[in-house]
Amino acid sequence: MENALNSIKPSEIEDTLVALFEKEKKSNLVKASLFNLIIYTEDTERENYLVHLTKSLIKKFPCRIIFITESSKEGDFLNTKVSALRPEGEDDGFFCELIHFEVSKSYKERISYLVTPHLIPDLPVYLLFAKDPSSGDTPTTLGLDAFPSRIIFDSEYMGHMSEFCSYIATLQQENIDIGDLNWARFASWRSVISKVFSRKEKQKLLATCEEITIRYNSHSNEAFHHNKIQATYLQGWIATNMYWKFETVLCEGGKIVVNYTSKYGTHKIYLEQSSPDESIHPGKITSVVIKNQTESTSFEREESSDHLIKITHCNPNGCEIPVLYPLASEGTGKSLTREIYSRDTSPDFIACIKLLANWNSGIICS
Amino acid sequence: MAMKSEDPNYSNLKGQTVDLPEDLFAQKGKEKTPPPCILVIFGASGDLTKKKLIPALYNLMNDGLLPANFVCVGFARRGKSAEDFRKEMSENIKEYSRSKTEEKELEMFTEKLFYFQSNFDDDQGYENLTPFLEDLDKKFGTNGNRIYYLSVQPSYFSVISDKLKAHNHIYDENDKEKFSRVIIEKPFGHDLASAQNLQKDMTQNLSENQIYRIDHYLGKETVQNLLVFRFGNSIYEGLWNNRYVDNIQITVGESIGIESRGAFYESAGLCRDIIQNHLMQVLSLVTMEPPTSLDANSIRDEKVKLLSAIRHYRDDEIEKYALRGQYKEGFVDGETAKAYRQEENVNPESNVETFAAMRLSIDNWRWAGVPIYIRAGKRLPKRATEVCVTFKRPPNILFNKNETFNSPNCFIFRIQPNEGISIRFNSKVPGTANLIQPVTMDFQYESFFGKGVPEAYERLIHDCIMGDNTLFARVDESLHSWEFISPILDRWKEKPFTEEEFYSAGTWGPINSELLLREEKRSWKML
Repeated sequence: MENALNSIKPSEIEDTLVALFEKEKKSNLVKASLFNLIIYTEDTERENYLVHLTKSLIKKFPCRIIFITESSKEGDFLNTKVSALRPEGEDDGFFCELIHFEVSKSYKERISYLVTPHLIPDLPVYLLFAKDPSSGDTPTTLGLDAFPSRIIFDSEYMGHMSEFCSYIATLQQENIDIGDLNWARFASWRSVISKVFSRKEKQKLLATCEEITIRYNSHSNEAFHHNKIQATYLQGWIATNMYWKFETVLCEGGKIVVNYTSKYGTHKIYLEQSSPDESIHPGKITSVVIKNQTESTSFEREESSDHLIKITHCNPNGCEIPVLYPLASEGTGKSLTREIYSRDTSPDFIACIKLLANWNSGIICS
Repeated sequence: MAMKSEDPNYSNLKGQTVDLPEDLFAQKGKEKTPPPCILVIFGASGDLTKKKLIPALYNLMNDGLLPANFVCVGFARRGKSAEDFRKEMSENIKEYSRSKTEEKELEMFTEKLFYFQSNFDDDQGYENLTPFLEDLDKKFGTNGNRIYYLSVQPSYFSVISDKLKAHNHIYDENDKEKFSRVIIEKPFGHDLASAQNLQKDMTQNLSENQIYRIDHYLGKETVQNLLVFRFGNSIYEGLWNNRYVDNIQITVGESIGIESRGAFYESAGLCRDIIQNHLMQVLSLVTMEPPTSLDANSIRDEKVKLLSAIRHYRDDEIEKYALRGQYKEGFVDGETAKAYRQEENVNPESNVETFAAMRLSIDNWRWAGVPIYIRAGKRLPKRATEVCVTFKRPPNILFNKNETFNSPNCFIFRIQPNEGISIRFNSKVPGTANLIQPVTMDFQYESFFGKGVPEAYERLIHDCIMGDNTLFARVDESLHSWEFISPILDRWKEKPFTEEEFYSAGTWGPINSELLLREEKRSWKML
């Protein structure tokens, strides 16, 4: 990122920020920061996505960004750059301060020391940890867990699902406020399912359902490889809310099949890929169908509009007239914003994470 | 001639004009002029002279605050000509002065600089100093007025004051013709007993009014502004008590280590270097009662009352409420920073603290029950001196039922750097959701008053020339502070450092410092 800039010494950061402020002032831009955002990542293709995500975020929520890239290059080095980040595609009259540290592996132990002096006092601190914590580097081992009000993980980086989930479950026990971008990404699905099944007569269908099929966009790109995470989280959310007991998880013909039991019998959840659609976000849930012997409720994204879900309920007497339900906007940066402005750790997320920690398998069917 | 003013401000309530004193314009037209004098700096080869005192004098001259008849004499052990001294100081001014230097002004200033070589305990030197200064009096019209600035090791304070007195350099306090004043640098004593002894020695030669105990923190604009903020505004005083304030935190953080001061630190330690003086002075200004007037003794009386209200720890409380630390290896600005014990002139098994954190209680009606947390340290992540007055949380009835959501309000006084005042309050995040987050309302000296805020030493030297000792510590302030600190230092001296008391250079001190507040469900304010 911003390769054209000269590298400076860490001791020059504050002076450079002052000079930056003076320079931008001449262009009538003011400095804005509502909070501190630390982003920790590796120099993968996904780094650009994170920059794009940040630019989208600051449109509405300007902040000081401390972006740390762990370099895969050989050698012992630390490159420090300071720049002004402006909201993507807009001129809102402000800029955000971006401090970028590129560190070699041998300099990782210095990261927390580099970050501490440059957090803006009196403002909340959020950490977006875009690395697989089961790789050995965690916010704790890097000393980054002391600052943030909230640690937001990006499970797109997970290497092994149960290890990733086990780590998060451990952090939660230490009372650290945590979240995950992928959890935030399907918040609107949780909302619509909760609304539909909040009615007592509908709850029976969910409690006694024998089969749930969750389909997700099988499209993947350089930034998003793990397209089944949201679907996996969604099935975990349903199962834990229904107090189902996990039995097995299998891979059958490219589908993930999760078996649960409850006092109402057995429940099978299928996670299926839908055909790849580049126009929507990789891994996005496209439909959910819940069935028991007599009834079914289906939730399907409307082809005409990505933001509408068609809900259809059928029983032996026929199907009700479908209802259209609007989903909250899910543009780039929305999930990060949602996570930043969430408070506490969602108990549903933790229940789901604890369930997945027991799956004892990696990315299934990958 | 008596004047009648037409200015309505000078009219009484009945609309009649009033008589004005004849010398009104003389009083209003100009500030009191500083009297002519010679400033003799003992320890003129030291860092303080180079980096602070001489640049401060230069800036005072530029601002028109030095008397026209003024001379500065550097008194030191090293042999040096006046010309060499001038040249050296000229370079220092260029490097350390806050204002831009102009050759012409620099030349004008350095013409007033002289050098006198002698040992501090050499009687002959003091004998020779008399004609040297008298000669300058004749040449520069300095009227025999003297200020002696003791920028030397504390062990020389008594020696120099004895010699000055013995060789008639100190005049009677009531001398109407000329004055002599002595400025001494901290630390004033090593502990309570030595401070009492030093006071005894000093007062054999000088009256209390002739002793100016300098604490450069008191010369800082931001510290002086504490008084204006508290007593020059009406909206805060009602909140300044245990009904509204939850806790007060004062932090004096330095990112640098002890640099070349290993020998000094080994004999002093952080508590004597920072807490006993600077930090206690700031604390007293933040928490004292309003003085009855702005004269020196009224303010000092209130400070003393406050310092005497600080509850002394019982023996068993010292360990719980007074914590120390020493930096070990770590990283500062991305570079490896060595441990205190590896610094030059430091004992490799040193038992000296480079960090201290304490929880204080003030036993008076205003502050009963409000914990005061203080901390100071070397090799912390950043240089920052701040006072944070944290208010009690509002009841979680309306906006945030979850307590962690609601940040308490704070007044933050940034003493250095980025001098200013911030007020933190909660604000709604724009949008339909009822999200709340803390925001700050910020006043920065530099933005409002420009970059020319005078250095602390400028103000203090000027005040001493003017004979105003308001911003200098009175002996009872120092002694009360020692009364509180000495038992802590005695206890620490007995105990070797434990593993938990070490902290990595570049961090906010040992973990126990965090735990001190965490046990009371609080945390240090982020700096």
